[in-house]
Amino acid sequence: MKKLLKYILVFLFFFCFLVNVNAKEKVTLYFFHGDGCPHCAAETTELIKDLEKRDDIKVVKYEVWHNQENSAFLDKVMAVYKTKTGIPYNVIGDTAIVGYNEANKFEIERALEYYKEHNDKYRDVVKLIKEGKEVKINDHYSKQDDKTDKDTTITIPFIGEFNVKNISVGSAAVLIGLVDGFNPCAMWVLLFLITALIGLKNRKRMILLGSIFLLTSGLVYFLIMFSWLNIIISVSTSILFRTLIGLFAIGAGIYNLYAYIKNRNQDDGCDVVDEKKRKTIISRIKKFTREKSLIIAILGIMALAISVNIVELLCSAGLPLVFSELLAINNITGMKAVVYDLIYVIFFMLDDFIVFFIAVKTMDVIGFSTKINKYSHLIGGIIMLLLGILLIFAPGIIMFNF
Amino acid sequence: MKVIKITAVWCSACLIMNKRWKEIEKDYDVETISYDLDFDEDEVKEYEVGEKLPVFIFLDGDKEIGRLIGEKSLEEIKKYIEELN
Repeated sequence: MKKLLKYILVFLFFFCFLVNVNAKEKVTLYFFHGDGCPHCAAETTELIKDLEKRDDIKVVKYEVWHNQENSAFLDKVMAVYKTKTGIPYNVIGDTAIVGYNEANKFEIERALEYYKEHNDKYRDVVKLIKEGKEVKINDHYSKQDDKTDKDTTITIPFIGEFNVKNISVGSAAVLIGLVDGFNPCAMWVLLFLITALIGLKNRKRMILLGSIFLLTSGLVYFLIMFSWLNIIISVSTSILFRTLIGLFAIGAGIYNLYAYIKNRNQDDGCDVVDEKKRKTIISRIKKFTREKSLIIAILGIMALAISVNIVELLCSAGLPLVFSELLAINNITGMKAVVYDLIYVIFFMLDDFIVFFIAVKTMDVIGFSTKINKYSHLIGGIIMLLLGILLIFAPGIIMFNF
Repeated sequence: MKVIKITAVWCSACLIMNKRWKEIEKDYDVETISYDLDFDEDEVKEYEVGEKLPVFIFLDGDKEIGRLIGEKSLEEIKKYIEELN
């Protein structure tokens, strides 16, 4: 009997231990990735393959670039974690780590170890989301993003810290903005306005009304671009949406190249703007520049700038849309996106600023050669075609930001 | 030679060509009559301006003998005038 009791006690002891072990939930790494995404491929080779060999960790993979269902699920997961968008997207318990580089690799490994050691703090959030349960994130790694940036930050003497990864997106903002700016659609309005203002022979009024026109135009363009970016961000992981933008860019690229080839041997010069539209805008400009009340003149010029830019946006919708997608695919949101959109708009308006500045200085109006427009079609077409193809077939190449 | 010059204040190519045409006026015996597309509508109407500006219409008396359309270099303009003469 005593022997039996001893066996029972030993069994109970081990059973309790067994129960205790089983109570420990296995930590799972959810790896949302895309086939063709180089950072995902790097993570698979450098980290995922090793983790899959381990018994104490479970790896669950979701391909999101070619699988609509998985893509939609990632959108749900990202909405719960309220992080920036993009892949590779790694989830461990309450922690989400976006992107892959040396620092993120370290963070993923650290998070796995953390949840293994503090199993009471671990819960399978992705599973809960999948089950349709409402989850409130309690993230222990909320400041991971700041740490990852340190990898690519260099210190330049006298200037300070500079993040190298920003160069590529910044260059794209300058180049695409500049090419977009030589689109002649809205330039004719500025030239007419400057001529009308010069006619007033009042430099102060010219500076005031001209600056208001330019600033309002820039602001409208910026707001439209920023709105696009936010729309794109909300659906950026959708393959369908990215493909649609890619197809649009290819179509617009081909159209621009066709316009260049068609017009390259034709006369350079100004296209005669539709008479009705031209007369309406000209009469508005005349009315507002000669308006005695300065407030009405300012409001009128602002309204003119808004209406012209909204209508003329159709003329150059392609490049800002593709640039917004470029920001989205690089996970650039918030203040960073504001800065890049501002860089784009400043370079977009550079030709306008130059024309206005010279007019203020000399009280004479100058024009840029229309030959530039021809080449803006060529360069713009090549950029759009290239970005369109990359967006559809190799988006990883334009993911500068990881 | 009489030349009808049709331009517009909003047209950048016209601004460039206005300056080049002043050079031409120094070197050639041309009588230029300038019209603005928006402010001289009645006069411009009879010349059937197409889709591009500026337009230079060369006349021998009242008869049109040539038409130069768009932005051209100074050399191109000179060559065109010499061909007409």
